[in-house]
Amino acid sequence: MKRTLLAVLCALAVTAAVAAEPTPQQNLSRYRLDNGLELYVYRDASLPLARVQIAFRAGAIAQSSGNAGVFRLYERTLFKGDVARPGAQDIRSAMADLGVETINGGTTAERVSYWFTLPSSKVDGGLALCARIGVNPSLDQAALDSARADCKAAVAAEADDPAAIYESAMTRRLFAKYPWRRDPAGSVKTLDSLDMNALYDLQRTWFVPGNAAIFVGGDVDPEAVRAAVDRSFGSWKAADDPWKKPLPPNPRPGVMRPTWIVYPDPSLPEGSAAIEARYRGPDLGIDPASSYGADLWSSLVSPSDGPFKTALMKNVSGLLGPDSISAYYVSQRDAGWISIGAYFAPDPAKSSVDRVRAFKERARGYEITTMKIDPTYFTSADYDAARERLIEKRSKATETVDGMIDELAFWWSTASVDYFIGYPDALAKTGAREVSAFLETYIMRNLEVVALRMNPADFEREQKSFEGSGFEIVRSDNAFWWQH
Amino acid sequence: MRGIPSAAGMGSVALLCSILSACAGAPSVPPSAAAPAAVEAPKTPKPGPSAPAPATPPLRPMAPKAVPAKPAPPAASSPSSKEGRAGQQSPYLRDILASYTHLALPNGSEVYLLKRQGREVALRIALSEYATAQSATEAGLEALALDLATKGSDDMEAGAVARALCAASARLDLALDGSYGPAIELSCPRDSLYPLLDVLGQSLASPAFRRDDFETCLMNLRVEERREHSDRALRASAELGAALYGRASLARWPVGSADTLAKIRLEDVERYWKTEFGGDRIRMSLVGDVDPDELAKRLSPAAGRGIGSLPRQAAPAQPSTPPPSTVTGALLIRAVPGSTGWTVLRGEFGLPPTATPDYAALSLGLTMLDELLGRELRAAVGGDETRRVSISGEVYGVGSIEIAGGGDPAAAMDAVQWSLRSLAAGRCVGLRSPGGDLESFAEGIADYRARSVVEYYSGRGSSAELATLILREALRGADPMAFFRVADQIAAAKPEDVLRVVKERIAGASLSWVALGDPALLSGLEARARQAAVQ
Repeated sequence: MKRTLLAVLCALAVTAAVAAEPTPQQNLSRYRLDNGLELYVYRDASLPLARVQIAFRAGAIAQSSGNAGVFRLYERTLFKGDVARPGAQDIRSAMADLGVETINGGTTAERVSYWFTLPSSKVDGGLALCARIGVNPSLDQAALDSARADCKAAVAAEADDPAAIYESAMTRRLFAKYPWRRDPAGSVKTLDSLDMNALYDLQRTWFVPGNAAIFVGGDVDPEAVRAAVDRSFGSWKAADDPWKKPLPPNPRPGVMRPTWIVYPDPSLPEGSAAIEARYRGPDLGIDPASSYGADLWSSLVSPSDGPFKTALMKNVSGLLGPDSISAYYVSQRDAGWISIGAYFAPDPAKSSVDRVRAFKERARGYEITTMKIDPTYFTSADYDAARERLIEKRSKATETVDGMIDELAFWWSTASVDYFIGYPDALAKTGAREVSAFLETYIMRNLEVVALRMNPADFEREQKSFEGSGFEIVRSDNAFWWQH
Repeated sequence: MRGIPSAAGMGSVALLCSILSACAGAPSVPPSAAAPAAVEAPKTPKPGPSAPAPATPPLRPMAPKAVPAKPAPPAASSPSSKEGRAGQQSPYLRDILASYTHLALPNGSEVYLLKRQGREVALRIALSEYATAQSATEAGLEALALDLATKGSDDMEAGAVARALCAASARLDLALDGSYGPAIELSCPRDSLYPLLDVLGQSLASPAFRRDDFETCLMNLRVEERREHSDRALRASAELGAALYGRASLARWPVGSADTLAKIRLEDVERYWKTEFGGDRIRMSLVGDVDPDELAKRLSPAAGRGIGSLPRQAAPAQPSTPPPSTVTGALLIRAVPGSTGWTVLRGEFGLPPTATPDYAALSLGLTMLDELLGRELRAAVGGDETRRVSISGEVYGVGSIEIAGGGDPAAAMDAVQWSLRSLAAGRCVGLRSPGGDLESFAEGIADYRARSVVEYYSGRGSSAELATLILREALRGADPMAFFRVADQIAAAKPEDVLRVVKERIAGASLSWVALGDPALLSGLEARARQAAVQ
C-alpha cells in the first residue's frame, strides 16, 4: 500500500513537472523538464519505427579562435570511445537489443546532434541509450588521440576540396571578424592544442540539459515518451545557461568595401564559369522578422520564367540559361547570408571581369532596385504563388518522420520551434512592404563579396586582367581563416 | 529558407538489407456491378498461411490472387484475424489497417486509399496486365502512352493540365522504377485533389495525343533510358533479366531500350491506347488526408467524366504471369567496354509473396546474410571504401545480392558463398559480439528481429513511397496492405522458419548470377567458371 501510494505521488510529481504544452502543429507535443531539457514528440504512425534524437545548441558558433574544431573533436572522441570501442559491451548490447545498427552524429556550425532509428515498441530503451551517449559520457585519451588524427586528416582534406576552399574564402571575408564561428573543422594548430580537460570543460558548459532538446518521432504515444524521458533524463543536473552572455554579432556589412575574388576552380569544366554575389543576411538570433521577407523574396525570384530571371537573361549576355541563375537567402542564427549567382560561358573575345561586373550591376543596381521601388515588378499573383511554393516546400520537407525531426531540430537550434510553428501565419502576413524593407536593409544598404569561379585554364588566359582589376586570387594556401 | 544541410552521418558499414517484392502476376478482378463504388473499409487482414510455402525456384510464377470486391468487416470485429503465428495484431497494424479503404468502381477500376491525417496527397496510377499488354519489340510503349495520355484531352487547350498542376502547386510525373511497369504519380495539396482528378480523368478518357507532346515525352523517355543504361546496377539487373527471360516481357525495363524507342511513332501510341486501355485496367493508390466516402462519391460514374466513368476495354488483356526462368544457378559474365576499375556482381532469387510468414522469415535471413557478408567482405577486400553491398529486389518478385566496387569479384563471390554456407548451417553473426563471432539462429534471432524491422521500413514513410508499395502489391494480386504486415510477421518468425526459407530460397544453387564490368577484374571469376564447366 505504501509503495502504491509512493508510486502515485511520484507519478503526480512527474506529471506536474513536465506537463505538455499545447502546440498548434498537428501531432506535435512539447514538454519541458524541471532541469530545462526540452522534449518534442511528433506522432506519425505510418511505419512501426521511431527516431530518437538529442540536439545541443552548440558547434562552431560556440568556438573561439583558440579552440576551433573542439566540438567536432568532442563528437569524434565520443564515438571513437564510448560508443564504438569494442570493450563498450553495454552500448553494443543495447544497440543489438534495440535493432540500432548505427548511432549517427553530426557537428555543424550551430548544432551538435546524435540520433538513431529503432522499432517504435522499443522507444523506452532507445531513450535510455540516448541518455547514455548524451548525458556526461565518459571520454578516454586513446579515443581522443584517434579522433584528433581523424579531425586533422579532415582539415587536410578540406585544403584539397575545391568546394571547401571556395566556401572558406567566402566565409573568411563575409564573416571576417569571427570566421571560426562558421568552421566546425578548425585547424591543425588548434586541434593539436586541445586536451582531455578542454573536452570535459566543453561537456560541463555546453552539453547541459538547458541547452539541449530531445526529439522523438514515429508511432509513439507522447505521454509514454514523456514518462520515459523523465526516467532517463530527469536526474540530469541543471546547469548555467551557456548563452546567458549573448554572442557579439557578426558585423553587417560583412566587408568594408565591395570585394572581388576569383578562384581557379578545377572542379569546373573548361568553358563554364560561376558568378556569385554574397551579402550578410538577417540573423535569426537578432532579426527574425526580416527573414520572412527574405524567404518570400527568394521564392519570388525563383521561377525560371519569372521577371527577375527573364530580365537577367535578356540583359546580361552569355548566361547559360534561366535555370543557371539563383538567388536565395540562407537562414542561420548567427550568420545568415544572401546569394545571387549565375553560370556563364567564358568567351576569349570578352573580358570575364566585365561580365561579372555587368551581372552584378544588372542584378543589384537595376533589377533589385526596381523590384524594391516598383510595386508592379511582381504581381499580386506572383506573391500568392511564392507563398504557396514556400508552404509546399515545407510540407514536403516535413512529410516523413525523419523530415519532421530534421526540421524541428534545425529550427530549434537556428531560431526556435515557435518560429517554425508560427511560420505559415507569419508568411501569410508578409508582402511587398516586408520584401522591400528586406531589400533596402540587406541588399541596397549592404556591401557584397563578388566571387568568380572558373576552370584554371580559363583563369590563366585572363589572369592579368583579374590582377589589374582588383580581384583577389583565391588559392588553397590562402583560403582559410587560420592561414592568416 | 532552410539552407545549411544537417549533419553528415557518422561513418558506418554501408550495408543495406531488404527485400522488396514486386509484380509477379496481376490481380484477377471479378467484375463488379455495384454502383456507386463498392467500399471495403477497413479491410480485414488476410491470415497468413499456417503451413510453410513450398520451395519455389527462382522467378517461378505465383498464382494470382483475387482482390475481394465485397466490403469486408472491420478488422477489430474479426476474431479470426491473425498475423503470422502469433495470432495477435500489433497496435500499429491494427491502427494502420483501420485507415485503409478499398474501392471497387463499377467500371472495374480499383482504388486503394490509406488515409493519413494532415498529409498532402500522393496518388499513383498504373495499368494492370502490363506484363502481357506490351510486346517485346515495343518496350517503352506503355510508359509513353501513359505519359502522353495525361497531357490533356482533345477538348482541352494545349498545356491545360500543366497549368492546372502549376496553379495547384502539384506535380505529375511518370514513374519508371521498374517495380511493375510505368505509373503516373501525382503529388498535390489535399484541397486540389478532386479538381486534378477530374482533369486527369478527362485526359485519360479521350487523350489528345498531340504531336508536340509526343515529341517531348519521347525525348524525356530517351533521356531516362540513357540514364538507366549508364547505371551499373540497373544494367547488371537488365543483363540478368534478359538472360533469364529472353524476349519475354519481364526482361525489359518500363523505359524500353534505345532501339525500341527509336521505332515508336505517335500512331503506335494511339493504337496501343485504343486496344489496351480501359477503366478496368486502372489501379490507383492514394495516401494522404483524403476522406474515403468523399472519394467514393467523386469517383462514382455519376460524378461525371472522371476516372470512374472511363469505359471498360472491349477485350481486356489476360492476367499476366511471368515466364519461368530459363537459367537457374547460372553465372553470366559480361565484359563492358570502358569499365576500367569496376565490376558489379549480382545474384537474384525468387521471393515468397509479401504477406506471408515466409517472406518475413526470408527478410530476417537476409538481414543475417547482410551481417555475414559485411564481415567477410571486409576481410576479403580490406578497407576498400568504394565497395558497396546491397541486398534488394526491385523487379518482378525477385530479391538480389549485389556487390559493386573495384576489387576482385572472385574474392567477393567467395565471401558470398561462405556467407550462404554459414547461413544454411544455421549460423549468424552475433550482434553483441565485439569480434563478430558466429552464433546459432536461436541465440541471435531476437536481436535480428529488431534490426530487420528497422532495415525493412527505414526511409519508406513518404506518401509517395507508401502509395508505390500499396499499388505494387495490388498489381501483383497480393494484399495491398502486405507491406504493413511484415513487422508483425517478423516478430512471429522462428529460427526454424528462417533456416528452412534460407535453404529454399538463397542457399545452394537457387541463385542466378551476373558479373559485369572490367574484363581484367572479371578474368579470375571467368577462369574459375570455365574450369567448373570443364569438370
